[in-house]
Amino acid sequence: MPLIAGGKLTIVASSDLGVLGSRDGSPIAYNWVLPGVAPLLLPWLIILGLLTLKPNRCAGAWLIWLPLGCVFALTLAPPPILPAGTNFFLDVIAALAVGLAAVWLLSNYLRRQNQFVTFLCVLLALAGFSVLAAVARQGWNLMAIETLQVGIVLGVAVLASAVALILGGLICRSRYRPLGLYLWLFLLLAGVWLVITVPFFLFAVMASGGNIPWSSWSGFFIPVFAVTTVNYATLLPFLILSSASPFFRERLKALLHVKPETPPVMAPLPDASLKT
Amino acid sequence: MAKRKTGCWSRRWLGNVRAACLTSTLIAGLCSGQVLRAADFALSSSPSANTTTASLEYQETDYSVVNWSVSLTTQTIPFKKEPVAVSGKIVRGILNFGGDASNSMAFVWQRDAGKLFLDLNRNQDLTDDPAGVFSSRAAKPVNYQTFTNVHLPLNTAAGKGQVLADINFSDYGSRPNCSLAVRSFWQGKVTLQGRDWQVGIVQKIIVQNNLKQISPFENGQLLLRPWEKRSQPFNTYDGSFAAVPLSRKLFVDGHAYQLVPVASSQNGAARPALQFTEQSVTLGELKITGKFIQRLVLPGGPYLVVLDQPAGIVRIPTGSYNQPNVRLEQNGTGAFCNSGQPQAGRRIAVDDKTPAVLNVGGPLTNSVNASRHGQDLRLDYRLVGAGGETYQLANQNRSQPPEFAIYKNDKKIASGKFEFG
Repeated sequence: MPLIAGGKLTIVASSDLGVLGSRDGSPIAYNWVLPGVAPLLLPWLIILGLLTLKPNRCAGAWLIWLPLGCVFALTLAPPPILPAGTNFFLDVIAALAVGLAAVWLLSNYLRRQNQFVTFLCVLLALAGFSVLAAVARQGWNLMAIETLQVGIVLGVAVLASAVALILGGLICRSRYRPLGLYLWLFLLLAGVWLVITVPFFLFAVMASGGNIPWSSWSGFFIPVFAVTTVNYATLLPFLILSSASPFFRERLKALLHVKPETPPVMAPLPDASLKT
Repeated sequence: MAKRKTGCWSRRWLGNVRAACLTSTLIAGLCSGQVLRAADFALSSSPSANTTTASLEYQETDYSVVNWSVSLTTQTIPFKKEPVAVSGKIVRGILNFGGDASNSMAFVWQRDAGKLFLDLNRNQDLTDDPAGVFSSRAAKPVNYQTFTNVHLPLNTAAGKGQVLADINFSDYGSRPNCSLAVRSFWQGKVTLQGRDWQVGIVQKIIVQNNLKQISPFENGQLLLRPWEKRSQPFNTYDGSFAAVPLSRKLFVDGHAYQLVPVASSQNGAARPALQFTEQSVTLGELKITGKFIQRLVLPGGPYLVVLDQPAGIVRIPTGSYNQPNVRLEQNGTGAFCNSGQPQAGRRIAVDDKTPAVLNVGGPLTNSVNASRHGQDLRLDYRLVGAGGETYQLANQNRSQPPEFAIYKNDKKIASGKFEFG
C-alpha cells in the first residue's frame, strides 16, 4: 500500500485493552515529507545518460527500457508469495535490473580480448550501477539494517550474474543458440549460488556430526533454488531482448565472445557440363 | 540473571512506506542491593516476640516456575559404565549444576534414540540408575528434545534436596545446550498483621563456577502473594510479580520486615523456613497517580517494597528507589511493566516531609512511534501508562494484533495491522 500523500499526517494506533484503556489511542502527528524525486529518478537518469553515449545513439538502444520496465513493474506489484521479512528482495531485483541494463548499454566498452578482464569489467559495471541504484532506493541511508540486507544479497546476485554470463559465453562460444544460452545461464546461476552458500551448510552438517534431518536439507536447497529463480527471472527479460533485437544480440555475442555464425560453406559445384 | 525477551508490534509497508518493529527487551534483573547470598542464610533461628516463621514445604507443579540454562561439559571418552550404545549421535558429559563437583552429574544423551541417561547417584556408572532413564517427549525433532519429570537430587548447605524439572537438550551446531524448566519450589503460609500470605522460595540451583559457596536458594526468588491466590499458576517471568527478588529487607502490606531464610535439616533433608521480623522504620508518603494497579514492586531502595492494590497515597520507608515493576489488572485483563535495569537519574526519592509522586499505572493508551527510514515510514506500536512507561498485555492475542490508521485532513488515507517481530 503506497503512501503517496505527504504533509501533516495523524496516526492512530488501536487495540482492545478491555477496561485498562480506550481502544483508540491518542492521535500522533507526523510530518511526512515525500521522498525526494531525485533518488527515485536516479536509476532512470543513469540509463538515460548511458543512452547518450555514442554507441547507443540509435533507436535500437532505446529498447533497453522494455526489460527494465518489466522488472520494475514486477517490483511495484509483487506476487503475494514473498515470505514475511523478504520484501527487501524487491529492492535487490530493481537494483540488479539497473545494473544489467547498464552492462547491456556499456557492453562495447566492457569487452576485452582477455575474457577474465572482460569478466572483471562486467562485474565492476554491474556492481557499481546496481549499488548506486540500491543506495538511492534506500534513501542513501547506508547504516540502516535494510541497506545492509540489500547490500549482502545484491553482492552475491551481482557476482553470480557476472560469473554466469561469462561462463555461459564460454560454453556457448562456438555457436550462439539462445535457448541453449538461457538454459546454461540458469544452471550456472544455480551453481554459483550453491558454491557460495554450500560452505555454510556444510559447516552446519559437520558441526552436527553429519546428522541433518531432511527438513534442514529442504530448508537449505529450496530457498537457494528460489533465489536462483528470482535472479534468473531478473536476467531473463534482458536475454529475451538480446534475442529479439539485432542491436543487442550482436552486443551480447560480442560481450560473451560468441563467434559469429559463419555462413554455410558453399561447396563448388563440380565442373560438369550440362549436356543437352 | 533471568532474561526475558518480548516483542512489540509494528507494520512495514512496501514501496514508499515501511514500518518495522523495535523489539523491546525486558530484563528481569535482580536488585543491585539487598539480594541474599548463600552466606546470608541462617543455619539456626532465635525468634523474638515480633518474629513470625514460615516453614516451607517442597511443592511440585505441572507448570514451570522458572527456566535456567545449564552449563554442560561434553566429552568423547565414554564413562566407565554406559548404557548399550545405539546408532546415531551420542552426546555425553557433565551437567554442572553447582560450583562444586558434588552437584555435577554425568549424562549420556542418545540423541537419535531420544534417550537420556542421568547418573543420579553420581558414581560415574550410568547403568545403575533405573530412575535416571528418560525418553524424549516427542520423537522429532532430534535436534531439540525434552525429557519430562526429572527429579534432580541436590546437595545443599542445609542437607539433601531435590528439584523437579523438565530437561531440554538441543544440538544445532558446534556444541549442545541444556536448560531446565523447573517445576518445583518451596512454599508455606505466614500470617502478617492478620493477613495470610503464601510465601516461598523459587530456587536458583545453577550457580557460577567461580562461587565457592552453594545454596539452592542463592539469588532465588521470593514467592509472595495473598494466601487465597496460592492455587494460581505463576512463574518468574509472567509479569504477575508474584515472585520478587529475594531480599533481606521487605516492606509489604504497610509493614517493614527483616527477612531471614533459615536453612535447617530434618533427617538429612533440607527444610528451609522464612523468618519475618517486624522492623520500625521512618515512612514517607508516595502518591501514585495511576489506576488499576494490582501489584507495584519498588526495588533498589532500603527495603524491597511490595504494594498490592495501593491507594492513591501510600506510606513506604523513606529512601531512594528504582523505577517500579507494575502489574495492572481489571476485570480479567492484565498488563505489566517491567522496568528492567535501574536507570541513573530516574530514581524515586521518598522522604518524610514532602509526598513523592509516582506517575505509573492505568489507564493505558495505545500509541505509535513514527520515524523515517530512507523512503519508508516506520511505525512502532507502544502501550503506554500514565507516566509514559511501556506496558505489555499479559495475554496478548497474536491473532488480533494492534492496528493503525493514518489520516490526512481527517480523511483516512491508509490503515493496517502491526506485525509482531
